[in-house]
Amino acid sequence: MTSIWLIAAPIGVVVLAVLRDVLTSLAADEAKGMLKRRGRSVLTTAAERLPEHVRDRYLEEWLAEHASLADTPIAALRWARRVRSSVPEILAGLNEPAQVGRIEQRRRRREARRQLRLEPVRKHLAGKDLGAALDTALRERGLGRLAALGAVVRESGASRIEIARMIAQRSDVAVSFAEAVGRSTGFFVGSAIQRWTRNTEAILIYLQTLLDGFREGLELVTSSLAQVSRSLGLMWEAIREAWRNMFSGWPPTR
Amino acid sequence: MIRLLGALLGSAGNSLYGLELAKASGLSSGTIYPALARLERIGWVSSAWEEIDPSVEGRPRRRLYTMTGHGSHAARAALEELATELDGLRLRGDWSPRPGVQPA
Repeated sequence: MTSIWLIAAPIGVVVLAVLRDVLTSLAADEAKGMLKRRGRSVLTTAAERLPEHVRDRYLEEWLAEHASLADTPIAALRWARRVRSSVPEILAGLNEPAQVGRIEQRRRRREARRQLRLEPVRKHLAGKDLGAALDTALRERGLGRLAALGAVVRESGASRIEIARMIAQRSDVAVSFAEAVGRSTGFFVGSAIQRWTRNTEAILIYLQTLLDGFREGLELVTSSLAQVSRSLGLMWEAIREAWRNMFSGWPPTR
Repeated sequence: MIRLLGALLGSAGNSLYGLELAKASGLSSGTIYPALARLERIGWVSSAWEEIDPSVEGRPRRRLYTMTGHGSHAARAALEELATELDGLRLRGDWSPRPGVQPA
């Protein structure tokens, strides 16, 4: 039973460490992706309130600047919210009425959503046109379809959920989407395992040293016990001998 | 607005994008875009898209703002006028950096 635990415990430790690393990185990646998406959504909402002739220009400008804050997604979201709150002043700056009627508001929103929906793939995915990046990977870099998708997924710097949403909008690449995500995750897990290999080696060396030490200790204890036992035996013999000698002339014969 | 004008004049004719202007002027994004919209409408500032290939650069193109010749003259004149006005107020003792606080 003990030997099973001795084998299972280090394996369990390694598996748990890899899992923790993978899950933590995935969670962080997705949290960052979520914040980026939220920021873009805030900017899109802000752009919806602008008149048609400037909507595209401002949205593109804001999304570009939002992308340059990608390393600090919380600051980027805060920045996007400030932009949204400044829309009435922008309208005033453009000499547009800051408060428009409800009908006009609805019309603008409807128009903006239609316009944004018509855009085939968002141009601003991590600063890259996903379709163009895919075409480059396929034609110029001579990669296969799956490898090209994997490369785009890895190099885009966006989260997997985000990529999934974007790729799903393109019917021509939707077929390979699952494979690409699977491949990406495979690479991810692989690199995590690779990173942990050194640690695993260190753990195994440590455990080996520990076992060696334990064995040495056990041998030491055994030899000590043997010595003690021998000493006790000798002592017992000595006591018995002394006892015999003490009473060897007893009872005295008359 | 004064800070933004200062940042634009200080850029020595270079084009800056919104975030750079916000950093240079110390203004937030909620202030910078309305101010830029006003300046652009009155012709003090012009803007144009950055000429890059987004797929090569790995980022989308930015909107760059430049002070126009007219804007530069007008801004300098306005800032000088403001400075003179403030100096006059300070000399008369009517001016205080904080409204409601009497000058010493």
